[in-house]
Formats: sequence, C-alpha cells, structure tokens
Amino acid sequence: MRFTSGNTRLGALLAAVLLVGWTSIAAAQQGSITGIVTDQLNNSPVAGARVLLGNTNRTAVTNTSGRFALVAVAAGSYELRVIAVGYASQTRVVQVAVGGSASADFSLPRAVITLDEVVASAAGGVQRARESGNSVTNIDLPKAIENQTVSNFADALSGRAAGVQVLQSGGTVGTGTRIRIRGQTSLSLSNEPVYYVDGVRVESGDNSLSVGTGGQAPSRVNDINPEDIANVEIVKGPSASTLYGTQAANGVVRITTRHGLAGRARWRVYSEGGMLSDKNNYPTNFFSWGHTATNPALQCRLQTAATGTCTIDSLSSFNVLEDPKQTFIGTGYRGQGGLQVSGGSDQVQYYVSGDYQDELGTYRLSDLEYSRLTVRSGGTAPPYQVYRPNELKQTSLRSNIHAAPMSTLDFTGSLGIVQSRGRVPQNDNNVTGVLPSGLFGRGVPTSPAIYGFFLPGDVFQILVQQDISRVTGSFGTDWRPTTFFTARGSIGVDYTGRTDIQFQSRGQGTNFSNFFQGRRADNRFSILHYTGDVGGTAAFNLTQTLTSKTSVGFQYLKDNFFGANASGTNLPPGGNAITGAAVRDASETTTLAVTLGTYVEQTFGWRDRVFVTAGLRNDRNSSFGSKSRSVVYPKVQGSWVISDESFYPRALPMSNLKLRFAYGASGQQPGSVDALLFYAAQTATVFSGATASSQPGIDKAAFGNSSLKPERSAEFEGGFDAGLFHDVARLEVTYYNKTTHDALVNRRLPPSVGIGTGTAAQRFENIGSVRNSGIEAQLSVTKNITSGIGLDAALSFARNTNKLLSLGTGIPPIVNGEFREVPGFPLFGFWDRPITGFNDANQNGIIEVSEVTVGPTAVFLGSSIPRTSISLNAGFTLFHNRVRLGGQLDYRGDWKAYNLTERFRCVGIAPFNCAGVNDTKASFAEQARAVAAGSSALFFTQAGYIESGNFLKLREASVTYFAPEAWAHVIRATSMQISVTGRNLIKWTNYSGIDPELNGNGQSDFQDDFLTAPPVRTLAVRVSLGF
Amino acid sequence: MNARRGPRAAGGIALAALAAVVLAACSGLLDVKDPDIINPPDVNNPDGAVAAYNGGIGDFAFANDGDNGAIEGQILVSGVLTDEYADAETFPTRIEYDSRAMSEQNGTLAQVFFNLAKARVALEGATAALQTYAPTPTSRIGETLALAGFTYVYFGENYCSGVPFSERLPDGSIDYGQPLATDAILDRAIARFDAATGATTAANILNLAAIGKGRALLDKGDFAGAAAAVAAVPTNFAYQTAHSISSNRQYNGVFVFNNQAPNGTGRFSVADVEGTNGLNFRSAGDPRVVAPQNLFGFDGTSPLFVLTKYTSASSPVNVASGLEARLIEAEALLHGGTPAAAVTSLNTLRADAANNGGFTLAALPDPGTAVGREDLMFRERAFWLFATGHRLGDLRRLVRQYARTAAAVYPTGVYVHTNTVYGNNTELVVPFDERNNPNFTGCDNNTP
Repeated sequence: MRFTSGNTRLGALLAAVLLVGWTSIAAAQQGSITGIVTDQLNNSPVAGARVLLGNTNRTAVTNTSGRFALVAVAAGSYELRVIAVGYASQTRVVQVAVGGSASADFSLPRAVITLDEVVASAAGGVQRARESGNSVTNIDLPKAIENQTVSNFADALSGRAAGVQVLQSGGTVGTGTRIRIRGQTSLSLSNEPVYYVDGVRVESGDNSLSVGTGGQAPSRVNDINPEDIANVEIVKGPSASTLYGTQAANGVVRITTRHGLAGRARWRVYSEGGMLSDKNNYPTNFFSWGHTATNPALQCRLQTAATGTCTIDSLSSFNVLEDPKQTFIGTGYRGQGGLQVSGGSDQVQYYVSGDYQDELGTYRLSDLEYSRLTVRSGGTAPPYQVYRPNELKQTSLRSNIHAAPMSTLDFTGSLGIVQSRGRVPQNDNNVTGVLPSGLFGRGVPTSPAIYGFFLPGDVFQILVQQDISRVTGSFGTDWRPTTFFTARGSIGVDYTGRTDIQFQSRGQGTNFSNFFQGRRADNRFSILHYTGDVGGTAAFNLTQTLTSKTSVGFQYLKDNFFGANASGTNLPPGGNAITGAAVRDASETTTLAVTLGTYVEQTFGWRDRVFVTAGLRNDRNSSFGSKSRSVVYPKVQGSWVISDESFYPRALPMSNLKLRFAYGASGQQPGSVDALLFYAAQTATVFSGATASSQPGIDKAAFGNSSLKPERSAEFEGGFDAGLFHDVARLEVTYYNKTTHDALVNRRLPPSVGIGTGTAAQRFENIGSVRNSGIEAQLSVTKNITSGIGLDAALSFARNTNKLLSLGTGIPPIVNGEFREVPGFPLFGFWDRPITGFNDANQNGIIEVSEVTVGPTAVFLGSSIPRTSISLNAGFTLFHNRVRLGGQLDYRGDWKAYNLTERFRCVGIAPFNCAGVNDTKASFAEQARAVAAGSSALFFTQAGYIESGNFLKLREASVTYFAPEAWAHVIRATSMQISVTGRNLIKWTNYSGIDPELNGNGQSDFQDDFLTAPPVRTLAVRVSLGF
Repeated sequence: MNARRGPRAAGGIALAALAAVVLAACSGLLDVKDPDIINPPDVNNPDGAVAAYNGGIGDFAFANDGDNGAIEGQILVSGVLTDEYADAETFPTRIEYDSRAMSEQNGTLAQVFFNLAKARVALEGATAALQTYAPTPTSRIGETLALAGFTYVYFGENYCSGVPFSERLPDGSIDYGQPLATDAILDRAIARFDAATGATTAANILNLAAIGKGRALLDKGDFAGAAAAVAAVPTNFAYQTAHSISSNRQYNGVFVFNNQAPNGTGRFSVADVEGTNGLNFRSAGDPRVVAPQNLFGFDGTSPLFVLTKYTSASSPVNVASGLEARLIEAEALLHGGTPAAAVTSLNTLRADAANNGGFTLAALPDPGTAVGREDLMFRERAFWLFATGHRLGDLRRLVRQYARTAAAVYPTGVYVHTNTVYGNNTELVVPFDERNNPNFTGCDNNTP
C-alpha cells in the first residue's frame, strides 16, 4: 500500500484504528508493580528516582517518600531498573501476574554519575547514557548553584563542562557573555549555541540592545532564571545535534526546568544579599610636561623630547579611577529572594516559583559630582537613575505541571514569565563613556583635565534602559498506546517583548555632537520563536538479546523578529518624548524564517551493552536559495559497555568502562534574505526647480545568491567513560574533529561592483571550510576521605585547535584590523608585523623609532580565544555534611588578548597619557610597543599590545552551613542552610591590561580589551529554608 | 510483544504516510515575505524608474558630500589628503590619509570608494530604468547620465591609474572589470557626458554635462577641447547636490564633519599652509575661504577652523558651476599662446561680483613667468573651488601636466597632528577588497 497526499484521511483512520486496537489488547492483561527506593547509606527515601520497566516505554518517578507505582502493566517478566542522580543504578527482575501486583524495593548505593544516567534524546523521550555514542554533558544545576552566588545563567554555566567556554565580556551588571562550545565554527554567522527550554526553542540573542552603550549589551539567555532549572544538558556538536537540524552546528543547550514530585507540598524559600566591589587595578594617567623656545608649558612626550623638539620638565600622574574622592566606582549591592513550591498526587504534580533579584552595579556619583549636579540644577538632587546608572531588576515566575490521567497518557505544561528592567552606563568604544573618560585624564587631580572627555555626572545623565517582558510556554503530551510505542507532540512559543530606550534631556548630559540639545530613541521589538514537534518511538525486542528502537518525527520552527525604531533629536526644554523632537526618524525591521524538519532514528541494542544508532534529518528552510531548498544531515554512533563483558578483567581500576564513537552532521542557516536580490528604500533630497525636498528612492541593496545553502558541519568524536575505583571517580575522555564545509562567509565582493547594504559590497556565499579538533577530559571524584569529611571534585580539561582550512579559490584573506581570516590559521586570529627588536642605542633612556625593528610582513600572533581551558570545581564536606567548603578555579591558556585600551592611551588619542610615552621610567619594552604603534616607518604595528591572555582565576568560593534540623524547626522549617559566597575573587595573569577577558565589542568574536568595565567581586550571604 | 509484527509494520507505514502528508501540506509555510525589502518586479514600472532616479541622485550626493558624521565623501577625503583640510580627531583611518600614509586596508577609505561605486551603478541603473519606463521628461535621463560621468571623473582624478569597474550580470554572476588607466576612465566619463547631451535638451543638464566634459578633458590635458566644451556655459550656472536633515544620509557631510557640536562633529579643520606646501587658505584673508576658529575638534586639542561657505547641514554643494567653466577657459589660455590672457581672465572673474557671491577681489598682477602664472592659476582654482572636490585632481595635474614634483605640491615634512612624518601617497587607495576581483592586483598610489 502506498499513501499519497490524496488519501490523508485513509492514513489517519488506519493509524487511529491500529493504535486503539493495541490499547484494547493490552488493557485485558494488566497487573501492577509498587515499591520504595532508599539511600543505602542512611535508608532515607530517594525522591525523583526514575523506575524503568524493562525495554518498554513505561517509567515511574518516585515521590517524596521514595515510593513508586507502575499500574496497568501487562503480565509477564520484567527487568526493573532504577536510576537516580548521584546513585548507582540497580536492576531487578519482577514477575507480574494477570490482575496481580508485584513489589520491588531498591536500596541504592551512592556513586558518581553512572552509565545509566538518563539523558534527553533529540528524537524525543529519554535514553540512558550507555546507549549514547556521544559525550554526555549533564549539569545538575540545582546542586551546582546550591552554594554559589550566580547572577545569571551564564554565571551558572561557567566552568561546569569541558569544552564549553563562558567568556565574560565585562563586569557591567546586566550585560552578556559569549558561550562557545568546541571552538568557533563560523566566520560570519553566530557561534553561539541554540537553546531549548522544556523543548521550546528560545531567544538567545547575544548582543541584544539597539541603542548605543559603546559595546556592552545583554544576552537574552540571562533572562532564564537559574533557580528554576533542574538540569542543563549540553549537546556539544554536530555528532550529537544532528536531529536538531539546521541551527545546531554550534551545539545545543537543553534546559529542563524544575518539576514537582508526588507528595505533600514542599516549600523552599531563599534570600540572598551581597556586595559588589571592584578590585581591579586601573592604569595610571601620565602627562609629561615640558617646554620649547616658544611655549613654556606643553606636553613633551618621550619621542618629541628625544628629537630635541621640546625639553621635559616634570611628570604628572594621577589615577582618578582609584582615587577615593574622585572615582565613580563604589560599592554595588545585590539582593535576591524567591519562593518555590512543588508537590502533587500520583496523577498530577506541580511546581510553582517566584523570584526577584535586584543587582546594583558599582558605578555611582561621587560626592563631588553629586554636589556639582545638584548645584547645576538649582539645588535639586540628581535622580536615582543618574546617581546609580547601572542596575538590573528581574522578576521571574514559573508554573509547571505534569498530569497523567491514565497510565498511558501524560501531559506537561510549562509557563515561564520574566519581567526585567536594566540600566547600562556608557563605556567601551565611546567618547561619552565614563571609563574611557577616566582612562584619558591628563594625570592631574583637578577638573576638568582630571577626566579625558566628560565628567561622570554628565555621562550618567545619559539613560540607556531596557525593559523585557518575556513569556515562554509549552504544552506536550506523551501517549503510550502500547508498551513499545510512544507518540509525542509538543508545541511552544517563546515571546520576548523588548523596549530599548536612550534618553538625554536637553541641556543635560554630555555636550558632544548635538547630544546637549536632547535626544531620545525608543525602539520596540517583538521576538517570537515557535516550536512544534510531533513524533513517535517504537521500541521492542527483536530477539532475546537484540533490541530495537525506531523514532520518526516532524519539527516546525518559526522565528519572527519585528522591530519599530523611533528617535528624535533637539528636544524642547523639559521634553521627554520623541513627539516634541525637532528632528525625528523612524524605521522598522522584520525578519522571518521557517524551518520544516523531518527525522528518523534507528537504534539497535545487543545484550544491553552494545548500541548502534543511525539517523537522518531533512530540513527545508525559507532562507535557503531557490536552488537549494532541502538538506539532509546523517548521523551514526555506537557505544560498547565493555566492562559488562565477561572477558573484561575485573582487576583493572576501571570498574566500568564504555567505549563510544559518533559521527553526525548539522548546519547553520543563512539570514532570512541573504539569498535574495532586492532593493532597499533610500530617501533622497532632490531639487525640483529651485526647491529641494525629500523623495522616496531605491537602490540595489543586496546582490543575492540563489545557490545559497546552509553551512554544514560534520563531526566525529570518540572516547570513553570510565568509572574508577568502584565508581569513586569517573573519567571521561573525548576526542573530536569537526569540519565545517560550505562555510557561509559574508564575502567581500570587489567594491567596484557597487551593490550592497551598509558599508561594503558583500554577499553570503558557501565558501571555505573550518576545522575544530580537540580533546576534552573530565575527572569527577566523590569520596569520603575520613569519617565526617568528604570530597567532591570535578577537574575538566579542554584543548581546541581551530583552523581555517580554505577560503575559496582566488579569495584573499579577510582582514579586519588586527584580526585576519587566513587559511591554515585560526579564525579571528591576531596578525601584525612583529616587533623583532629594540635597543637604546644612543643610551638616552628613550626608545626611538630608529631603535625599533619590526618584521617585514604581518604574521600570526595568536588565537583570540583560549585554546586550553582547565577548570576545577571542588568541595569538601566537613563535620558529617554539616559544613561545605567549595570553590572553582578556572584557567585559560594559549591565547592572546588585545590591550587596545593601552594602545589607544599611548598613541591613539590626546592626551597620549600612558606611561610608555610619558614616563622616562617606563620599561624599554613598554616604550618600544608605543613607538611601533605610532610610527608609519614601523607600519603602526600593534603587535606589542597583543599579549598573552593566559590567566588563572578563583571564580568562586563558598562556605555553607547546613543547620541542624532543630534549628530549622524553631521557625517551623524542615531544613536550613546558610552560605557565604564569593565570585571573581582572585586572578593571576601576566597580562598588562585590566583583565584579559574583556571585550569592548560585547559578545562579538572580534575580541579586544577596549575601555570596558571589568568583572567585579561579589560577596554574598544566602539563606535557604525548606518547609 | 513479538506476536504483533503485523500491526507494527502497518503502524510504521501509517506514521510515515502521515508525516509525508503533513510535510506536503506545510510547504507553503516556507514562503515568507519580508516587508523590509523591495523585490525587483515591484519596481519595473514608471514609479519604480522615478524612485531609481531619486535613489541615484541621493547616492551621488552621499558619495560626493558624506553624511551626518558617520562617513565622509569624495570632497572631504580628497580635501583632507591635500591641503584643504586637516584631521582634528582620533580615528587612525583618517589620520592615515591626512598624513598621506594610507593602507589599502583602510576601512574608511574602503567605504568612501564603495559609496562612489554604488552611486555609479545606481545612476547607470536609473538611466536604464528611466529609458524603459519613464522616458519623459528627458532631463532626468540626461541628469543621471551626467552624474554617472562625474563619478568616473572622481575615479579618474582621485584614484590611481588602474581602477576596475565591475558589474552584476542578470544571472547573479559578476563581470569582473579590468583595471582602467586614468585616461580610459576619463574617456568613460566623457562618453557619459556626451550621452547626456544627446539625451535631453534641458539647458541645465546640458551645462552640467558640458562642465563635466570640460573637466575630464582638462584632466586628460586637452586644454583646448576643455575650453570648447564649456564655452556655452553661463557664469552664473550652478548644479548642486541637495541636502536636508530628514535622515542622516541626507545631511551635508562637508558641513557636518567640519562644524562644531551640536551641528557637527568637528573631525576636520580648514588647514593653513599644511605640510609646508599647503596654501594659506585661512591666513590669506580671502573671502572665498573664510574659516574662523570655533573651539577645538573632536580630539579636544586640535583647533577647529570652520568654513563659513556652508551654513548648515542642509546647504547645497556645488558639483559644477559657471565659475569652473571660466577657470577651465582661463587655464586653456595658458596653453594657447596667450598666457597673459589667462591672468586677465582670472581677474575678470575676481571682479565679477554678480556671479561670485557678491564680493569683488582685487586684480592680481601678472607674475610674468610660466611657473608664476601656473601657480596663480592653481591658487585661484583652489580658492574658487575650495571644498568642492577639485584640489586633489589639481595637485595631480600639477605633477602630471606641469612637471612639478609631488614633494613640491603635496603636504610634506612633520605631520604635527601625531608628530610623525607625512608619507608619499599622491592619491586615494583602491581598497583591499577590490582584490576580490581577480583582474585587480593593486595599483601604485604614489604616482600622480
């Protein structure tokens, strides 16, 4: 029989008949299984353990008393398997008689992660880790953040998984971070992973701001409240993300929010309060005073003095950023509180939470500036938003529900709501930035030269505010008409309403350009991601030893981005709205993209120890060119739990061992109009006789490429997971090799072709290829060292080698300042002519142009992203788990950071106030790099400012006290814990700038340290109560 | 479970069929429409042709004059490279061309070059659209052809010998242009001016084309031909780009980049005797170039001298004028056997208050030597045509046509803005991106 689109009804009818038939047959022969799961160590109930019924789709989850029940189980013999986080799995054979009930209790030993850990399957449902050919990275976030201060999701993820780099762009409250998994893949598209929350694709824009701050911008992933997260699974690359399709080449972050367990209502209340302080060292401002025959007082820099043009008289130096009276850097504060309740019956479980946090950055008006503004406004004190220009307030609400009205039917619903308001100060590449102003003073402690550009009070009168209203909802159902077939369906939407405002009142703020006349921008966006997923899985035993699992599915993804931008300049006095602006401007932006995907996956298992999986995903996408409407991604993977074999030598320290491999492909879609030739509207001023007026015009804005197709990444990974010393420790080692073909490059065309948007002629083309290869390893240990003292630690190591393999025939390297894309070298690598030597030949104590030599051509200076990452998360429990000491050390190595701040201070802009051009005591190396960067004879090479960025940071440290139950009972609680936590505590680095992680370009891969606010230290106290 | 193979197989088939049906039904979902863009079929009509005309006019004004402080145009880059303007800000890319030490990877210059190329393509595209869908009034066709000619004039005057001109072919592929020598570029310009003359009888367009042709012939050294081309242009004629503050792109960038906040960005200051060889534009006290100081430039330290010639961001800018026609005729006299008459001609212009803004200038004495008259001629051109995009072409002609050395006419010596030394570039660079054209391998930017 063959179905076509013409006999839809017949197909649907047949399917319904078949499924109903299976249901009625199964219902005739049912029994039940009940039991309790306890901790072997202390016999306490294990809540949330998953009980799997043989090789069927039936599972149960233990309630808060550790009890479970599997009803409507067909008569027969089953292997019952219990899996719980933090415990070794157990299996037991259970006989179920017709109409009878069986009992099975389990007492689980504690263990580091086991091979029976459950992970989400891209094809729907779950699978055990032993079935997966991929490295499985699951982060038990509740446990990870239990004793830590985390302001946002990125903080929570930092240092938790090998191969996952969380790159802090800066320390401004409310701004974002870059997350890179297994290196950078794309030259022109995003290198961020995609995110799913409870199965719904969610907005994760990483430079999510449309008004100017200079560089820093929020990341939308930080809207996700870490307190609501139960689990984060990181799908690292195409070998695992194949079935996620055309957006998943950079990896997938799957977030599962908390859910309730059957049992009484359990309440959790927490509150946190803390302080933020800036412990960074800022460079001092210098100014070398001198004279000439005609001018008695002027700046006389070392180079000018060396030529005899002027004579140095004295050196001024002052560090306004570290001066207690003058600095705008003070103490920030952080407060957070939340309430969670969960519980339910065997049929319906719920989880409801609310969370509020308010984090105030360290910037504030000094007393001097506060007084100045007060006087200027006739005695009226500056408003709070001027006094404190950096703040994020965020409210999160969540409601999740799971209902199982029948043993064969589950419904899940989740709803998350986030409201936030953030204010961000001006900084980075920005003449109205406050940090730039502080770093460009003339080395004197008096105004106005104390600051380089504008006084802090004027800068803080520029309001940049972002309001977020976000709703993420999903509804899903699992239907198990038989024990071997599960049908799934889910729909969801993520809506982000975003309002970006920039406002400067007339006569206030920085007197730059026309800003002092007043200006306002009000840009409003609606960002929607729709996800629809239907599919089914059939799992059954082909023979006594051979199992089969087949999944098919269909996915619909739609991404909408609507924006309406309005701005006005030259406001009336007291005017707050664009309506009153003398000059107004408006525009709108729309982006639409649709993906239709189908997938099929087949897994065979042999004796529950060898698993082979193959799958295909087909995608069609509205952004593909007309010649490439469809793409297919294959995958194949296998795993072998060799330690289950009889020949496996028990004497080995590896108590269990799984070998695995995986190969798969995935992609990245081009932008929604990248394939099209189109015109853009362009208003022009045109004379008609003697009168000029604005007229609507058009010109060709895009070149079009009808052959455009997705960027395609294929990855092989292989490795092993081993339990060591009777599962006291676990070692995972993975090698991966990911090659991206048909790389989508926004290729520069010869400008003489004269077509293009913005600043250049360019179009996306599928050219070039990129390879990322590397090794990841993670060693986890959980051990009771002595009576009452325990250790839990995870040491992760990752090494990535990134290389642009080719860039298309005849296409020259892509040059973007110090960054170049050159075949044979890493993406976004630093290039310039190296300084090959310097020598004070005339011994005048000053390095001059003639005393510096540079290389003849630009050479590769280093990777702009760390190639080696090592993180240690460790904790000691003392006094029989009463106290826990924990911390995280984070090392990043083999990379270069670009100290553009210092270069700009030395040679970029007056007053040229760095030590290297003013201070005779500056080292020759410091002088030489300034000389080279400022000299045409030395080709303005900036190589001296591209330095080793290697660092070791104590990111986190904490002390937690788990109070005795008696204490908790005093306030009618069941549990109480108090933590003192710290973040960004110590850094060790030879980098000469403020912090090597800084990125003046926000979350861009063109990373430079340019006048960016650095991360600050957070110290907090947290109290958590359970009821 | 193993007993139910039949239903299993049928179920699988049913599922597969359902998936196929769903997919077939959903294909239409892939057809999304983006309201931000205008599709080509929507503009193949008279309204579309007029919109293309407007777009071409706007692109030319943008390429010529720049915008509201983001990017400069040909007038400014050529003026800053020469002795008209000096950099008063911090951007390394602008310091590069002010100091005549440019990299072909200079991002600012890349955009300036692209904007000129875009104007050329837009104007030629508009010409074709007008001819097909809106052939009347003919003045529009003549205007787009003439302005396309001026884009070639700029390529010829401001860039090296060897600029290519590429085209997008209807199938989306690129016809990569071959590098053209300066004379060949100017020939293209002349062809456009001739086509404009043939396309319309509108007097103002004929004058525009005539001056463009005269300018191109002057660049080629055909002085007599140049004078003949402009002979019929009245002295009071002017063709101007129009500006407004409706959008950033419509601002008069020549005004904005030179003026102090809040109306400008203070990036370029009118220069005076820049690099030893520069003319004394400010200190001459000449009413044609009046530029008093208004505080300091963007860098906070460089004095900002602001040209009063353009009074607002909506001020129009001369592209071609009758004054230029008379200057072309005067220069032709230098080569026509009556060089003294050239001085007379210049003095006639200086005395013509009716056509030069209402002021008169004292007559200049005849220097009496060929070199002196040449100096006088180019000085007069520099002052009359200040900030209109002529100075770089003139400096190059001084070297090419009058046997001067670059070191004698371009700014040289210590570049005081950054206390470095001037480089030896004599024209703007063709950007590195042009190397994506397989026919282009770079060109010499140090030979006028």
